[in-house]
Amino acid sequence: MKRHVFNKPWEAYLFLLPWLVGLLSFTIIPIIMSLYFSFTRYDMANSPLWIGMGNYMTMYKDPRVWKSISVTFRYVLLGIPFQLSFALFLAVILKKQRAGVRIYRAVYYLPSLFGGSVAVALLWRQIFNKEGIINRLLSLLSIEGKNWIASPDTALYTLILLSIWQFGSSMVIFLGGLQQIPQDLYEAGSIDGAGKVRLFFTITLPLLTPMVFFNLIMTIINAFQAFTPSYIISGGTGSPVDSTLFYTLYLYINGFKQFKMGYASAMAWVLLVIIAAVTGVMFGIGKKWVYYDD
Amino acid sequence: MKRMLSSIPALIICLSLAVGCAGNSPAQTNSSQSAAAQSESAALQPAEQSASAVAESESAQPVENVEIRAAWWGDTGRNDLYQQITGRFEADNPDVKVICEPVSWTDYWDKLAVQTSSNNAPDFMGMHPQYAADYIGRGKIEPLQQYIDSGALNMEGWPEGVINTGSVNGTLYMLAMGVTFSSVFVNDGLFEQLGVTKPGFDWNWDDMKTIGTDTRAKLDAAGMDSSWFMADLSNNLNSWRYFVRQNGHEIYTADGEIGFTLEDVTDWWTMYTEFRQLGIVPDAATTTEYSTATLEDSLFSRDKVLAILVPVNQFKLYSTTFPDKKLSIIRNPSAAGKAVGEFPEGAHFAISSASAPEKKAAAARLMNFWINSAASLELFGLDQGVPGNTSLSDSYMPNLDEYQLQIYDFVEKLSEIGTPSTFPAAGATEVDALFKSIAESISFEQTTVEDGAQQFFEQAKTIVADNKS
Amino acid sequence: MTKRRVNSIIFHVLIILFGFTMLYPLLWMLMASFKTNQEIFAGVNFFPENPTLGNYASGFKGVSGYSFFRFIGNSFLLAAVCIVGNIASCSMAAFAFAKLDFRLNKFLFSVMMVTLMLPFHVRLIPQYIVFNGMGWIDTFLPLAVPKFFATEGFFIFLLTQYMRGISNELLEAPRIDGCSTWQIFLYFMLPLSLPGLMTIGIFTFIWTWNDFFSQMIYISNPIRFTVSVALRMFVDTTGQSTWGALFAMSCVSLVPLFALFIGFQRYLIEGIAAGGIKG
Repeated sequence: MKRHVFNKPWEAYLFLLPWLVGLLSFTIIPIIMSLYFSFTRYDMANSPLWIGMGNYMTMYKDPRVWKSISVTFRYVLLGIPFQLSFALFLAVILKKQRAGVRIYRAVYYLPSLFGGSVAVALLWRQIFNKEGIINRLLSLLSIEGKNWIASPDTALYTLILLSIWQFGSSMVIFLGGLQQIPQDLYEAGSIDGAGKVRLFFTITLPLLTPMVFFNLIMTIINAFQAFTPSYIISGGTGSPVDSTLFYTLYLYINGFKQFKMGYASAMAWVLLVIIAAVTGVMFGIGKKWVYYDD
Repeated sequence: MKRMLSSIPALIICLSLAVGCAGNSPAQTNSSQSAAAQSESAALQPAEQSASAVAESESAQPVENVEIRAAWWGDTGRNDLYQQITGRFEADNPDVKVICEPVSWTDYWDKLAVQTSSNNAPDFMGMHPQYAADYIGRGKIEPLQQYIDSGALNMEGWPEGVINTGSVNGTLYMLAMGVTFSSVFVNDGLFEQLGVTKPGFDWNWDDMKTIGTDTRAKLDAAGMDSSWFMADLSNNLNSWRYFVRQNGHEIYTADGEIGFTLEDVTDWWTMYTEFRQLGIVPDAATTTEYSTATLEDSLFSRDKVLAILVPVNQFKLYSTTFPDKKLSIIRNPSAAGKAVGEFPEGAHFAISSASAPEKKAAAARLMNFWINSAASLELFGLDQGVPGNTSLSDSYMPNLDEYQLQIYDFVEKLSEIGTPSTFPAAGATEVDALFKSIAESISFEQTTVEDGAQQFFEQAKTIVADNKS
Repeated sequence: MTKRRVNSIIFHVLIILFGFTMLYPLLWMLMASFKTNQEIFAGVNFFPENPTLGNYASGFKGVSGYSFFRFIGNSFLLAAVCIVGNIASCSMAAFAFAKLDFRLNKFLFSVMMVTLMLPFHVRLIPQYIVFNGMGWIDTFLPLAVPKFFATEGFFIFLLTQYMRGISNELLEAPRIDGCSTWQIFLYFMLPLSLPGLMTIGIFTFIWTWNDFFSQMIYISNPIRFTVSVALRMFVDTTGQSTWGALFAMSCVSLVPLFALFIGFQRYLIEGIAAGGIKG
């Protein structure tokens, strides 16, 4: 606890000034407006009409809201553990300086550079449709594959695979964190005769916890708001049979396709509460396992 | 208050950037916000463009210069074409400058929804019947009668029926870009190859079952088990609209209520469930997979279906995209001994009601030029169907190629038998989405036809009622 | 020695094989960019039968008479401005959150986190209304100016996390030498955070390069189209999509990102001497 070095609190606000100004002008106004809209019937053309808790009551009775919550939770719970372990695994492998490693890192990062381009939609269909690559490989083993991307019970998994495929950002953050770990700790560990796996669990992982924590929080926040994968692959409908109807996609359909911006805002605030609760819990648990040097 | 708060960052950034910008932009000591914002925007734009803007503003110009924004959806080919048309308009009307805002179909509607929220819609825009009710119902589209009265729009040579495709409750809001009809394109070559007699020009739903079954058998014999007679249209509201009209009803009544019956829905989905079971139309997963496919990647392109429902004005597009296929046009299936399903369709041009009066007037002039001048029609042709102005047909008839002639003939024929339809009620977009979603659920056998039809019937009523209040 | 070499070969073989699987979709796209529109969908071969550069030619012709180079230029310009904005504003905020004592620290940090949690689509309409009121529609301003005010909470969080990992002892010495807080930030904190700053710079570049929704909403005139907006113009479900051109230009637009990553990852990942941070 050496924070007394900076003992003039007003200086902190100077450093925060740009952020505070931005918060007040670009962020708080939209947030407050959306909160207000959530209590209104607002079709984006005529002035909002106050209806109190009406939107929230409608949400409670809307089966598609519940469906989209279940789809989103499955996406979060199934996607994140894989994405993060995958990113960490590759970061550790590609950490060491050796021939070609820079190219490898870039190559593994490439899918993430691709983002949500329209081309992804076509690529994914080429892979997972009835006559796609996966099924062609399966047919070599005489297995008849299904139409992965268009069947209600598998479509979501192709989107989860897409999110795992684009693991690059997490990997880069892990790589940055790994470089912060002093090499001499490993040397000391090796002298003690610890194996690679043991070194990973006794040195790497504990020291990397701030980055693990960061990635976990950020991927959770982003995954709950996932929109683009389903938007580009299902054409913005959540098909087949709502199996890829992400919460944010349903919110978008309400707001932009059906001009129910009031309802969409109510949905947004419910999502905010859900994410805040989950993130709050993570921060609470995080205190126990995240290692900070202060 | 809002404005004040939000202008704080603008001021700060301009001040902080002033040092950095001094090098490449003329020193601006004017501290008024808009001027500062402009210099900022110039700094952010490519140098070439800001230079040309300067040159332009310096050249002599008439006082009453109007700048209007024109937006449409379309592919890159259409953008080039439309830009040439606005170019010709500008040449004829030097006092109007047209800023083109091309967008692809999906993005067009997202963007328009956002722009509308700020009364910032393009002055001149493409409007589609599928969405028009939502915008007209919310007062965002300018009624056109006053521009006809003022002479800006000249409706001479326009048949009553064509003008009426753009009116709602007796008020004219939009003018047809062209007249088109739903039609079925048939892959003649594939029918010949299979040895199946293709459906005739006037065919009906019974024919669809017999020819479809025959096709299935021949396809199986040829080992083409992942091809079908026709695409599954059980989720296509427009196709169902034909069916409803054949039963003597309309999806929406003239005064914006639900006009179809429960039987209209039940019979439709029952019929298609049978088609699906008989292998006349593809399975649910295949239909879903191809629902987002573009033309080049479609079931039709891949010879997976032999016939497809398309607005007839796209016949040239299809013929040129698939030069190897031999295509012909037939009607939508009719219902033996029942009413006619056909009604004139097509996209429209509209003017934003939020625009300034001088911009609206300029937009009306652009609209008039686009649909009433030989100079425009020479380029525009049948891109969106047969132009509404029949008195200009002489000027473009000789230029028609073989595909355009077929389109023209088809529209001529159907204009005679087609009957006007009602305009979709506000909430139509939502009803459309609901129809798709329930049809899909039925096709995946997650809902029975009876339950699905009942759900659709009830919920459609609620949606239309909600949008009225 | 030999065992090491064998291990090394196994490492490279595995990583290349696996990398190939990862890259397969992108390689497919690269191959498709040399095929004709028909062959992309009809052909079953991975390699183009008669490689053509036609897609690149038509792609570079661009949209509405503006060459694709202009869109690349626009994207570069926008990305560059956003990078400067994000690095300057986010590092200041992160420094305050990570290293400075003030009563509202925890509270304001939570506020910052909460701003990340409201879905983009509901913020969009009010933001659009604000920017429209300022006359900023159809310029780059709505996309660039907010970046100077640390509106990207993700980056504040990332840098805060990064700066917390930097030992306080390293900042104590200059304080004893009489440096002001501003000087400590400028001359010690920023250099020490270089990898973190590089990370947000690169992320900003990639996100700006790929973001289509807000760019599509705010930019209308083709003269100001960015790469991501222009790419969407190649595909239209109601007309003839130029998939070949889309793939070609997608490949082209990946080149700067790829080059940037290869060029800067030294700073990004290796830019800091091991052991230099923690004592």
